[in-house]
Amino acid sequence: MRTDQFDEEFRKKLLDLHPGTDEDEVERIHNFITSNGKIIPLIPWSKYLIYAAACSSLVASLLYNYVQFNTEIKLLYSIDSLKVRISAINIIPTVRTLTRVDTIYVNRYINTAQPQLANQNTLPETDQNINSQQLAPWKTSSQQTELAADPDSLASHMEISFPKAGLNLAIKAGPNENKFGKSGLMINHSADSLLSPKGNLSDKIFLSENSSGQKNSGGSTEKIYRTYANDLTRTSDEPNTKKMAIRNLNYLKKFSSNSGSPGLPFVKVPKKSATYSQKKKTFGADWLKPRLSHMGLYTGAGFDAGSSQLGGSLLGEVRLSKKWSFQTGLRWLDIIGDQYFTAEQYGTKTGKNFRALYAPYVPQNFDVLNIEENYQLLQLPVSIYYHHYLDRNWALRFGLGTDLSLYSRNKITFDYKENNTSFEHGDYSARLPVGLLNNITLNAGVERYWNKFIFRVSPFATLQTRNVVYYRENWAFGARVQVLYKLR
Amino acid sequence: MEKMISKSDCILLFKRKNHFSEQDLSSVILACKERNPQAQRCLIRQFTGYAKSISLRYAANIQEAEELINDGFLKVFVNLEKYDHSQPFKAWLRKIMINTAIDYYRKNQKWHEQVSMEGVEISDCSSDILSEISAQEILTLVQRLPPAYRMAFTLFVIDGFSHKEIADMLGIQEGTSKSNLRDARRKLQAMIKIYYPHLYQLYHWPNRGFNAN
Repeated sequence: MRTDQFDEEFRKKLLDLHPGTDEDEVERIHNFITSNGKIIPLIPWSKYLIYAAACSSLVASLLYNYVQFNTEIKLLYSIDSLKVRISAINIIPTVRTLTRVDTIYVNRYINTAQPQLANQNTLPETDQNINSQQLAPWKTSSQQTELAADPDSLASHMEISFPKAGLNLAIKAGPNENKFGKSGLMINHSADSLLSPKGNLSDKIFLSENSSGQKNSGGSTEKIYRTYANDLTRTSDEPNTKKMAIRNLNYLKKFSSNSGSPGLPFVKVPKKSATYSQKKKTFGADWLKPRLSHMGLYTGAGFDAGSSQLGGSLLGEVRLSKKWSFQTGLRWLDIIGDQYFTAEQYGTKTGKNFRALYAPYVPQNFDVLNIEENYQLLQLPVSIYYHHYLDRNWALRFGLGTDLSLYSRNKITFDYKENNTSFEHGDYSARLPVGLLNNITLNAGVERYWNKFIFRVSPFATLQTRNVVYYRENWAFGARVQVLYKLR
Repeated sequence: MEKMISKSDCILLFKRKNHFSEQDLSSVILACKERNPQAQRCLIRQFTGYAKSISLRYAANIQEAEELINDGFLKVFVNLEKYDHSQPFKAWLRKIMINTAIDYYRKNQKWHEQVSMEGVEISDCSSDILSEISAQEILTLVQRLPPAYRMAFTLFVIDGFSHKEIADMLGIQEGTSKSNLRDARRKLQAMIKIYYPHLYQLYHWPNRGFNAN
């Protein structure tokens, strides 16, 4: 047989070989390449953009609502202050009638010659000529007339309305309004709306001028005021009383010319309201406002122990309400994997060549022993909890959440030796591909409140929603101990 | 037109996912470039058999072959961007698998037992006896060869490399490659005689021109 024939026979035989493959083998190869090569699925930048935008929106929304909430309180105070002012304006007529408004009627009936009045300008002289018959329809007494004539005594008598009371003055024309109106008392009309219907003559001073039936023009009113003011100035002995009376008259004068808006000058508005009204006006995101103000913040640490796993976590918790809370944090989890006595046992159980995969540098004549597999995970636990209070300090807690896997690593340790000499230690470490959402975690436990601390013990059960290399079983059980401190 | 489409794809915020068909290899490869796990599994599923047939020839056992397959596919996916679509994928994969086997051989060369051919009986072989042996048995015989012989024999006989290329790839002398090949043939003949004595006795083998390179 020639060499080329020999080769051809071998070639044909070997090229005819078509070994089959199964799905396990495919999965094994794929796991190998995903764990050893950087060929994990890419997340496109657009997704990062969307996630970043969503997170930014969420943070901005929370921030906006918080700022809005603070701003709204100020606005509500302002609105209530305005409301109080408006209501104060609305109730002024009643208040004014009872406490503030006095009507002064001063009738000056001058029967003597007007030039004499003009020359003397003294009230007592004019008072002597007051016609009591004309006063009669108003049921005034002589004393009242005198009071009306004498400003000082008038002031002392009418405590409510004059300077001692420090209140305002108003004028009413009275039943013979037309008469006085024609004689130029336009101010009477303007003051009419301010008067109480119960106003009687005892606290009213008629200020009018009737110069023998002579009709006064509108301008004579001012003259009267002026004259009356002069009279007050001259006849009063007490300077303070005089000044106040003049001020009142000036006010009267001003008031008579401003007949259109009688209400506002009497309004005293409180500067600031102590409390805002119970019916608050809302500005959107109502659901968030009470929560923001009542949210409690907790921080603390936890320790996890379960079926072949140990972990520690840093936690943060937000109390959404008295009974609901949201917890998140960072957890480092160490999962104890399978253990094998020898590389051969490993090969028998897993179908993999341990030496080739994890210990290529160990000579074939060396024994590989005590193989241990460990998995280390960095997780982001996210859970929502319901708290059922048993009493003030004790509560039951029920939670539902998931553990988002951020990072996972496979660590294999083993020993190798040659001919019963000393052991050498070897290890292998590789990053594993992680799926973000892997499991659902159920919690039920008890918690104890002590001052600002919360102590918790809660058993948990974790259901794997997808196959992962570090959990061989679908369910994992364990318990968690947590200590949290209340920040606010 | 293709350039225009690719440009517009770049502008799009959300790139359309590249759907692949298992029958369409180019679509699978494109999806693999986007690191689509399903496409990666599909590619592995389609070519594991082929990769295994290559690896088994260069490996001493099935475990070693699996390791070669793992490393070979890892190289495939890592270097998939460099793949030239004008060339057949199978040829590219074959080249990678052979290179992986050579790398493995060179890496583990110091642990390989040096086999001496002293004492090996040189005899002739008949084509009839080879036709009686199955492909799996032939493969087992090849796998039982020492690594240096197996590499030289497989590279020269099965994959068709010249001695010069083999010498370059394995980092040995061309003469060493020739001698390894000759010794591999002798070793195979001896193994046939040992493991298949009934066939050896059944056929009469003329002893001519067997040791020619």
